[in-house]
Amino acid sequence: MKTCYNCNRLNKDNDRYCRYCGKAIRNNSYYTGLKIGIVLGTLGIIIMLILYAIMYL
Amino acid sequence: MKCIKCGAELEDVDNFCPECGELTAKGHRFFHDPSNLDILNNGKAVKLKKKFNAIISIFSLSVIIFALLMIFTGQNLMTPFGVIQKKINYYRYGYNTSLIKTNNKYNFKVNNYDEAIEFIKKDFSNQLYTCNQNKELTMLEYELESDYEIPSVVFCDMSLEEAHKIKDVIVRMYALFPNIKGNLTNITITNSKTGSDYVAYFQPAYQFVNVNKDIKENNKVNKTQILLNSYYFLNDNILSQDINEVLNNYYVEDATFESTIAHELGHYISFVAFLREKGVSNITLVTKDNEEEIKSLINEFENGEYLKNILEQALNNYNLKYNENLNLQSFAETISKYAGVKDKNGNLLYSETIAEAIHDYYLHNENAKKSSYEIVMVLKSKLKEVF
Repeated sequence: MKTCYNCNRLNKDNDRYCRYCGKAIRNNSYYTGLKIGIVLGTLGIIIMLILYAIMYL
Repeated sequence: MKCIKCGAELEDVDNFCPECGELTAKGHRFFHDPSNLDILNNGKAVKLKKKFNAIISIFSLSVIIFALLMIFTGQNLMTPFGVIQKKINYYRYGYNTSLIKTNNKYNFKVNNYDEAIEFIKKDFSNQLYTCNQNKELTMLEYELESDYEIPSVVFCDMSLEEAHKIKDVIVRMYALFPNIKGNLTNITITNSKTGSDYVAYFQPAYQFVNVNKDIKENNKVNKTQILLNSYYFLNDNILSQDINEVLNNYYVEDATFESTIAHELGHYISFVAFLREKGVSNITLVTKDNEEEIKSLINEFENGEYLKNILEQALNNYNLKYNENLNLQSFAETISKYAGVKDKNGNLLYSETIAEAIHDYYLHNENAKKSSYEIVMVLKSKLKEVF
């Protein structure tokens, strides 16, 4: 049995989509990757702002 | 019950097909109620994905805007990293430094003299992203390169005012010694190893291409260069001081930091006179046919015999003219402390005596020390003979 990340409902092991909310059932590593992407993207924006300040202010 | 899209087996409670994600009949009835739509639009995975997309979009847009700004203002995209590195260096060392490296070494095929010169230019032009862009400074560098046949002039982050002062020195030196174009490959701002150990420095032959390769298969390239120490030339607070107070009256009277370029050009002029006497046009491209000759020439120049002969001629002329009986050491010491400097074996450094004589002549012309004047006249006669 595996849990849908989106709605927390239980699904069968070989289900590819959640039977309740229809979202694709993915490995935890996918969501970990998204979180890392958010952190890195935010850092990237901060770095861009710092570079902008250095070059143009 | 089967899925209408893919035919997979469904259970009665399924809102979506577990195989293809298609909405089932039961799901259609379930989500007809608006209160049940929340999980579709606000589930954990949906929110995470929305956040991710938003952050990545903002980041991508900011990169594009930044890149466009850099391009439209004429900057290289790598310039900001150079700015950051310079700021870190400033906090680390307490003075402005350059990021230009003059000791890069390469393995690269160079077939002829023109390619060697192009490679010297490229070595420095590839590093220009580390400099703050200044169109007027770039124009000044270009004028020096084209007017005096110096393939590369890089003042990088030097102030425009300082660059103009150095240009004035170069212009006047080439006017005083018109026969010296064609052998200097670059004048470049750089960092000395220990901060303040030299103001400027002449290297007759710095080999930087294919240094460890077999000469039979790979030509090598030498730079004949004048290096300007960033410790002085990028720091106005140091430049504003009197050089002879900073360096304990080492140079000739009235010397400035900028006039030391005349001293280094003095070394260059001695080297040109030496090459011309040996019938060698340049030592930039080293091939299997000329490697031994070039090595021997450089050794001969550096051991000082040629320069000693010049000094002895000048000394002889001086003693005859002024009815004096000086020896070489005391003759040199009439010019400046630096002119009388000795090596670790206690022998006069002839190259420094001549360079200081030329420095004195640059600063004082006909009013230079008589010893300087005699040295310069001998050197001019050597340059004229071959020219």
